[in-house]
Order: sequence, then C-alpha cells, then structure tokens
Amino acid sequence: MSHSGVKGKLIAVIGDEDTCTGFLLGGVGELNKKREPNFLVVDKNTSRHDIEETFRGFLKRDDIAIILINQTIAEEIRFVIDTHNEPLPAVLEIPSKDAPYDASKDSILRRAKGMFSSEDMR
Amino acid sequence: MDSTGETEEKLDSILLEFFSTLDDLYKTQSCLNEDMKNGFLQMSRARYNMGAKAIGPSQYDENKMAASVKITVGDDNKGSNVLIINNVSSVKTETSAKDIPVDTVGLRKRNVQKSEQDEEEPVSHDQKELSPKEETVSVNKKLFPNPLNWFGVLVPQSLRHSQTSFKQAVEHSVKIANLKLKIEGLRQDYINCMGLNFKEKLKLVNDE
Repeated sequence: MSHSGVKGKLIAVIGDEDTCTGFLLGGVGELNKKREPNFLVVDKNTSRHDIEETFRGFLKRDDIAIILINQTIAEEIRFVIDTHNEPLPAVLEIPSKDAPYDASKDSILRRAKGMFSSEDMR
Repeated sequence: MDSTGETEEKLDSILLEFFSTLDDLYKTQSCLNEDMKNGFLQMSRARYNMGAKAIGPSQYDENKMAASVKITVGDDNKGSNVLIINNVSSVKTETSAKDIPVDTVGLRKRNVQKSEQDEEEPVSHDQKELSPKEETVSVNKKLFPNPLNWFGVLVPQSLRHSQTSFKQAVEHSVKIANLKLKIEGLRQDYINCMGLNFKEKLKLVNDE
C-alpha cells in the first residue's frame, strides 16, 4: 500500500490546480509503491479520456476510500460516476473556484430523489 | 393487516431518518463550501504576495509527499461502512499530552537541585525520558513533512490560513462521505420496504 506511518486508506483528488493544491496542503497527497499519485490536476489541456482513465484507476485501487472531484469535472464523466454503485470508494462532488456546488447535479442526491419517483416501484 | 401496519411504520421511520440525514448533509455541505471558499481566497492572496507561479503543481515535492490524513473503514452496528478520519495531528496531540507531566516533573526537580545534592539520579532519569520525546517529534517531522514547505520556508500567513481551511474541508468531506453512505443505505432499506409493502397489499387484494 502506501509508505507513510499513518494506517488507513487515502483520499484521492481530481480537480483544478487550486483544488488539488489546497487538498494537498491539507495533507492528503501520497504516491504509492508504483509511484502513482492519488491526485490529478486537471487543466485545459487534460482530455476527458485522461480524466476518465484516472477516475477508473482510482476506483480500482484498494488503498483509496474517498474520491473528491470538482463538480465541473464530474459533469464531463457523469456516465462513469453514475455507473459506480459500490459504497467504497465514496465519490464526493465538491465545488471549484469557478463554479459553486449544485446539489441537483450530484449523482447520489439524484439517486436519492429517485426514491420518490415511480421508477423504483417497478 | 398487522404486518402491513408494521411495514408502513418502518417506512415512516426510514423516511424520517432519511430527511434528518439529508438535513445534516446539506448543513455539512455548506460548511465544506465555506471552507473551500476561504481556502481559495487565502490561496489567491498568497499567490498575489508570492507571485503567480509560486503556488502550483510545479512546486509539489513528490519525493517527500506522504499523506498525514488517512481514512479507516469501520462498520457501524447496522452493517454498513463508516469512515473514520485518522490524521497525524491527533497522534501529535497524544504525544504532547503525554509529555506535559514529564515537563512539570522536570521543573519541580530543578527547584530541588538548588538545595539538595541528591538530585543527580532524578536528573539523569529526566534526561532519559526527554530523549525519546525528542526522537518522536523528529520522526514525525521526517515522516510527514509539512506541505507548506514545498512553497518555501517563510510562506505568507495567508497560505497558512488556506492550509487550515483545507484541513477543515478534508474533515467535512469525510463527514459528507459518511452521510452519503448512510443515505445510500437508507435508500436501499426504503426500496426493500416498499417492495415488501407492495407485495403484502397485493396479497390482501387477492385474498379479498
């Protein structure tokens, strides 16, 4: 797993420059034994494919418990996030510097809203 | 009829719990938004002071990167997962709490030294106790270098404030993850109960 002294799983971050820098300042950053980081800095040159691959990679890693992702970036790979039904790793959508958080776009909250729709009765 | 009533009561209790959890989730989410907003603002101030390229991914020191915040996955009584935050600062506070009595003992003995000659043994005992304390602190520093140092030794106060805000944001995000896990569990329970309720009602209609 990881090489630091604290036991447990990691928090991964996919976000813009400021979000990643902020959470790394908060002490979540780490490289695993394969020198793979638990964060991805998304800029205007990062392709959707790269984001999707990194997200899928984080989902497969067993040393990650939470994936934090900017909601604007989550919108780009919504189809991947919607298909993730496992409790762990938990995917959290967070605001970015440019765009505030919108609860109506959140995958889990939209799923919870579905409790009261007729689709779940079938 | 009794079983239908029980299921409906269970449905009601699940719904009430669901809405109270949702309320907590919205509150925690607004706290997270506020923390991140403050963090971004302070980071921008620090960037204004230090220069545009002084704070960014190019400054990350990947060789010394080690997570000081980790998550332990536990189980609650209902069988669902609970995420517990596990960070170095809590370890540090534990050690510092242990160190306080050692310091007070040392001070007391310092006063005794002036009057008596028999203190050589307690003083040496003190030194023995102090040396491991220093070691633990240095080990902590080596294992978990402060990410602030990536951006320089004398960083502006605003960057320190930004770090504090993001540390709080990490704590809030773990709380949100727990609440979302709970909501997901309640949703599954609700769907199961609704199915059960529907089947019971169908059975009643068929019997009639």
